[in-house]
Amino acid sequence: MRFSINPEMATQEVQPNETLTNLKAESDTLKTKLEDERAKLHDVELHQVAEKVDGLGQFIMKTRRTLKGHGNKVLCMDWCKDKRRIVSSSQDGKVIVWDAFTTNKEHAVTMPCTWVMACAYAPSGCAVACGGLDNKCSVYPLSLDKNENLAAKKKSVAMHTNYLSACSFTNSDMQILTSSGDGTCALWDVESGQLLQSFHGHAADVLCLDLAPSETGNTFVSGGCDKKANVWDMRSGQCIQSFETHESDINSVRYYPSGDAFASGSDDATCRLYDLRADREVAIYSKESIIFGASSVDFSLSGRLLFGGYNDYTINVWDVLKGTRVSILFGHENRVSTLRLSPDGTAFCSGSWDHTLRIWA
Amino acid sequence: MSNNNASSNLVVAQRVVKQLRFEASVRRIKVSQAAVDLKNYCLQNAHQDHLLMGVPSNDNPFRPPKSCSLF
Repeated sequence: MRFSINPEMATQEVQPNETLTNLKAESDTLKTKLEDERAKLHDVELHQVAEKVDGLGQFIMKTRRTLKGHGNKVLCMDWCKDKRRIVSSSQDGKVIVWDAFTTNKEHAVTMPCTWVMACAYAPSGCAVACGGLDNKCSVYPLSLDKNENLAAKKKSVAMHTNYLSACSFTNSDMQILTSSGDGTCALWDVESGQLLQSFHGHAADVLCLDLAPSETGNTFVSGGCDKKANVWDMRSGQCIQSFETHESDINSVRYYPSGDAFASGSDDATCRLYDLRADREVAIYSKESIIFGASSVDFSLSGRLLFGGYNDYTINVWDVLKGTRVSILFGHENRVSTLRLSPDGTAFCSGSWDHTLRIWA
Repeated sequence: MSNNNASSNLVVAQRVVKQLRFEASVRRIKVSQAAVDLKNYCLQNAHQDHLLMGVPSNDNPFRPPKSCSLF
């Protein structure tokens, strides 16, 4: 089992006669205890363990395709499991499905709102989900008939009380996980639109989420404007671990491929790695020369490389184990807003406020 | 009015303490062990990582194929 607790301590009920002062005092004591416990196990740094590992050589990664067609800032993208199709969404309300090999546009939908901040491909490849300032997440089945009006078959699934910041199908087309500016995450049944579980705990807008790799069980991680990254149990709605070491909004979170850790990118210009079993931050990826926020992060297939898209228009490539930067990729002409590895790890795609998407390999 | 505020503050404080008790109960392993596991995962899967290892042009669908000429 990935995660274990001390049952006696975890289920202690709070007595009704405990006063506010007592509770505040206990909360401070517990926070200090948590820090102490985590510090006790901090016996080494990740890069020290990786000292004997061979360094990485020169990287030659170039833009192999440029997808042009959005009329405004690209805000989000996702790959189809077929490793060639991509869905992307933009500030002007357009959602486009591309064939990344040929750069042809296969479908386009105009949303009734601007700032479509979230989009996701269904695991079957037969639908896409998207949403933004409309506070909703809607699912559009993709028709084989190019002439068919996709908007006609639109299904409204999620309803939040503020903007939708991220969405992801779980391991089937039947459920969607969403995060919102209203400070919550939620799990929805696509067919009925029913709320299955809600996740409360962030103190401000939730900006991003990522599902744990399927082998590691039903958890997901979220990051928010409260500078916290929270790990949640999808079935119970409970927050099982919480990390607060960033100094500003967390824009992006992504699980390490083994599921034992996750990375985050923040407006504090750093990316960080948190190990779930050690329950603490184990690496910081930063340089004095990097002063703009990281908007989006993803790992390479083996977890050795971390790609970060930044607000200074660049993509920095980090050696996850050694903590050093191995490459900077130039090309975008405005902020990089979204970045994802292709399903088979042969390439990654970045989207930018310069209206384009680029495929790098 | 003040009663309502007081009771909702109490509820919030109770929730915070309950959550902290839960988080404090989590069993943790040493960073040295966690780090070794992360390192081993990277090394074991490195050969499959095309972006790390590089891949011959004809295998990677996004790399331009070698040019061929037709006579």
